[in-house]
Amino acid sequence: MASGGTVFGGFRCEALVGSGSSPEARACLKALVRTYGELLAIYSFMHMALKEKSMRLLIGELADRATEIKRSVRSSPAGSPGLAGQGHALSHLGRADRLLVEAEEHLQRGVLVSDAPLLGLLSNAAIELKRSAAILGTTTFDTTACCGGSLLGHGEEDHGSAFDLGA
Amino acid sequence: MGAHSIWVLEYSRSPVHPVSGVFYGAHNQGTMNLPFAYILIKTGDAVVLVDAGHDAADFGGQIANSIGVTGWTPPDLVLGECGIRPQDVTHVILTHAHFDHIGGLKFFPNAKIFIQKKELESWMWILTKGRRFRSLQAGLNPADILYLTQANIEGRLKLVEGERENLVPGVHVYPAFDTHTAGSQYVVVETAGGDGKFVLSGDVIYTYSNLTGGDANDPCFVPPGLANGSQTRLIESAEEMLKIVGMDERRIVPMHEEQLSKIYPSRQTDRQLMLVEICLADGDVSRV
Repeated sequence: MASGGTVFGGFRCEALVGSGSSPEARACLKALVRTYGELLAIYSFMHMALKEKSMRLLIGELADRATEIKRSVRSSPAGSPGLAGQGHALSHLGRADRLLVEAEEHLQRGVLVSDAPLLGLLSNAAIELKRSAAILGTTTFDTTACCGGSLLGHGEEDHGSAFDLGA
Repeated sequence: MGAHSIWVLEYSRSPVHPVSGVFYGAHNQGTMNLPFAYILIKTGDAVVLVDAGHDAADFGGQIANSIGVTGWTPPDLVLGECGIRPQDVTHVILTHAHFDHIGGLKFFPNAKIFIQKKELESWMWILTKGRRFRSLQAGLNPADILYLTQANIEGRLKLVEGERENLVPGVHVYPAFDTHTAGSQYVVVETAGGDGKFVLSGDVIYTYSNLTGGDANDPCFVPPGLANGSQTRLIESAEEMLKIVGMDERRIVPMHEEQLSKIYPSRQTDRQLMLVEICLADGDVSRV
């Protein structure tokens, strides 16, 4: 720990990670961070599609997916008493939520007078998500499916065998 | 000698990469050493990078850690071995949008960025499909998309649709759609001095054994195991590349190939990374 606070992934926070919440509640919050990460990715692509007219075909579907995600966020138990010990992570997540709500308002207008505000909102949301993810020890995006995900719970052993590539 | 210098610059490596990720169907074959690299091309005033590596401090670094990648070295040190600073890079050609190819873009603030439009559209489509499709999201870092958006606003993002010849003189890009990823592309360097052509294959070909099956006397295509597209399309694209180089496999340059250092002049840097010199332009200085 550095003096004056805890360093998480290169930035400093003044509060410590809460330890009063249950593992289940913590897991729930981690999942919520990754859900917001997916929302951030969708809004980032929507921003790009607004700039590139030929990429606009998928904007409607992206917006539909964003609506689904927001519905799932509303039904998550993130505000439950079980998460009381995670106030610090929740505060960063709350900021990310507000920034993404504001970004969505820009996207819904469909026409960007200026790119800078929306880019700023998305960039700041990414920073807040990164902070909450670092506090919780998770990632801002779901990597559980990477290379087989939970299907392959253990690493490949090195058998050291000579194998026939053409087999 | 010709008009282009080409170096393959290792910036990181995984000593424990699953063999099955590199060779389709190679189940239960353990792990292998896999270099992570980008490729530097110098021609005239242009300083071109093929792919940009990843940023160990970002989410890409977390993905890298999860698959055993070690020894990440920042681009200023890696490129410095060839006397290049990151801000000198004028063009970055992205073969595809996996984290270890796109995540280092932020280090090259003056570069124009070239990626197939279809690659980005495919990621958009995947994201519309929801969690059940998340296996297709493997390797994506949302922050990289934010960076591309920023580059687009700055006028530096160039979406390529299909072939683009002479992107800079003698450097061409060709699509390899529905292979490693939906919008993969590869690079052909046509040297002017009679050296012929080199193909920079991206991850459509990881190693020479993808071209031979490990048997040079009786070669057999064995496509990479990690692919969002089709194994058949991977083989078709590999054949296309071989034809471009007159069936001379050694003129295909796969950036994950550890044997490159045995085929071309090379040296190990102070940080134990391989620097491979594929060819030198007239008057350029060897870096190995």
